[in-house]
Amino acid sequence: MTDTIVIKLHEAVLNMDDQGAEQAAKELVTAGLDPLEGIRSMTSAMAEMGNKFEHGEAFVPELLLASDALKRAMPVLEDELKKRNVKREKLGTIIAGTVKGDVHEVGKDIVVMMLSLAGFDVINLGADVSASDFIAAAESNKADAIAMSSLMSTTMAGQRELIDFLKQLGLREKYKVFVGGGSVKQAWADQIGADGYAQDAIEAVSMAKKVLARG
Amino acid sequence: MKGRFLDYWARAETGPIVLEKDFDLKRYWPRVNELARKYKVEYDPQHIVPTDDEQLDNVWRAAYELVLDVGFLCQDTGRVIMFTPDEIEEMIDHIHPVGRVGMGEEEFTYTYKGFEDYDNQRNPHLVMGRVLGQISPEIYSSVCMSYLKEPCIDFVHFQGIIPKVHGMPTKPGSPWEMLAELQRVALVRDACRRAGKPGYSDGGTVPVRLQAQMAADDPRWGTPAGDSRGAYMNPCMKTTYDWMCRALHMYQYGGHTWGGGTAYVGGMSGGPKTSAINICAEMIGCALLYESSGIGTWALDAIYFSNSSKQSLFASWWGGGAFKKHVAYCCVIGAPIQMTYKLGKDYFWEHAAGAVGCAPLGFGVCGGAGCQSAGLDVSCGLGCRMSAEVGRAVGRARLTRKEANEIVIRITDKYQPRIDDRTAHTIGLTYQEAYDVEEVRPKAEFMKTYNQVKSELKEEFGLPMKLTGAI
Repeated sequence: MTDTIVIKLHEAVLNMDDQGAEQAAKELVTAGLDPLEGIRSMTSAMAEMGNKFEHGEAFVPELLLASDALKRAMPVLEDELKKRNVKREKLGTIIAGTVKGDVHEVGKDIVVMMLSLAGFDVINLGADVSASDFIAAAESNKADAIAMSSLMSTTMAGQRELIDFLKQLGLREKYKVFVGGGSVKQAWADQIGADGYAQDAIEAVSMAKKVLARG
Repeated sequence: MKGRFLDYWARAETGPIVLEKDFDLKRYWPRVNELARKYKVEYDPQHIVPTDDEQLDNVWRAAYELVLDVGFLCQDTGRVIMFTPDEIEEMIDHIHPVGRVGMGEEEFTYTYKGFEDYDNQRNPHLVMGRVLGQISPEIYSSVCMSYLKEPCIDFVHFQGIIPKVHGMPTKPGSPWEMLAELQRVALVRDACRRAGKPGYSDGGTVPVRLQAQMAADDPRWGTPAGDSRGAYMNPCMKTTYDWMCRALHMYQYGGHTWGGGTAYVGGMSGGPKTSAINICAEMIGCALLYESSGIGTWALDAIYFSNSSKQSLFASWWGGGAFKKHVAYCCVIGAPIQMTYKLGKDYFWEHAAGAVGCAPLGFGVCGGAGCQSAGLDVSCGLGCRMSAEVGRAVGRARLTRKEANEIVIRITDKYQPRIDDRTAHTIGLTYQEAYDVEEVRPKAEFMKTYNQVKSELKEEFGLPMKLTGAI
């Protein structure tokens, strides 16, 4: 029975069935099964989706829909964890967004997806995000890192601006800063003193894990 | 035809309200997949250049229905602009088969060119230079001149970004962005005059904010009426008031606009087959919403930006080819519009693949920009010359689409591996390494690489390339 419900939850996420995922999560709790087992099965389903994405067999909309299914089921399992007084280990919390003046989100959304699949909690602020908004989100979410994307050369300066803001506010050591985007290269990241750079979504995961020294 | 878009834009205030996430995932995504299944549109990596007219018709039908069923979301108002079949048919009947850019002696006119239509105008009928990415101010004029000195290039999008003005970064919305555009237009116009081409058309769309672009629109010293500027779609199937304003501004100014059918392959438009449908649908959208003077095909791999990968070329050419087959429109610019590599042998191969694929489709060719349009100082006119020379050779050979496809497959095999391992953007030279900046001439070694690729195109692929230096 354990296997059946856990498999059902896994399949619901893989099939992007948000109602099915929520239902399976409720069944798991009702059956008295370990909610961590449920979370692991959903994470494994997302990892499968991520693997398909890397190989061109699944695409961003499917990852988003699978993620929606996971998000629909997650509160059910997390409530149960709270009741049992069990804490879930996370790899870290990352605030992500495209810098001020830049409205491009495609690449950044793929990075967000891949980081989430890998086990990070990612708060996606969207596009055109000011340095102060990044910092406010990092403070309120007790983040570990801020990840900024810039597709255009003219908006790259926003990444340096955030680092300047952090220094002036005495917060530089509190947050790791990751940069990326079409116009950004390693040399720029080094120049502005960023803690991490990745040229694409796949590298972003290994970079984030390495810099945050977990997983 | 112009003027009809005023009615369509008003629908951004009256159309059905749809939240953006719902538009993407509940409206657009399911429908584009249903249509791909309905019309049996499939991705075949062995047929990047469209050779199957029935499949092309299927892409067209799928795109047509996508426009009717999904519409275009105005992101400013959260409302969808919908169209009727009569309106699409009216566009097909009236969209301009003739286009022109530039002024005076440099005015360039282009007309509709069909598939394998080698007796209609030159081959290719249009060669567009493209400068992209950051260009250092001290070499900006030299880079411009490297395109202006190429007689084969009909007009250029001088879209190099000036990264700093008076030591300040040219951030969107800042006074420095406006100053950078004033400087860019002044540099471009000066280079055009010095090259003896005062009426030459610039299509560079650099500022993020329209106010900066408009600051340079002064016929006495700035943007001439023969120029064009971009009015695009946001991915997927979205528009904004800003794009509409850009189109309106250029037309009331007496200028022109460029549109684009876009797709991020692997991203919101899905894989190559749904991306092809998206590109065609967005081209219909550009024609309806902006009545663009020219439309480019712009598919990029979503994870690692490449305009010239097999998947991206498939999406661009099938989507653009479907549009071209059904709409007698003056100008489709085919991919790649930017190269993935920096300046060097593979950069030239990318241009060659693009021209071999575009010429039999009656597309204009493009070239010059390298390094995913993201590096510093990685654009030059010689790249665009490769596109022109290869296009001419294809015309002399009168290649069929089938023959072109076979060649494109083999050429893409040469450079695809570094795209697959995501290192292509690190390979090659900068402008300063490839060119004598002061004399604006390719250095001997760079020219040798260029001629080597031409020789290989002749010997290995049988293309009648002219190896004497004359086009």
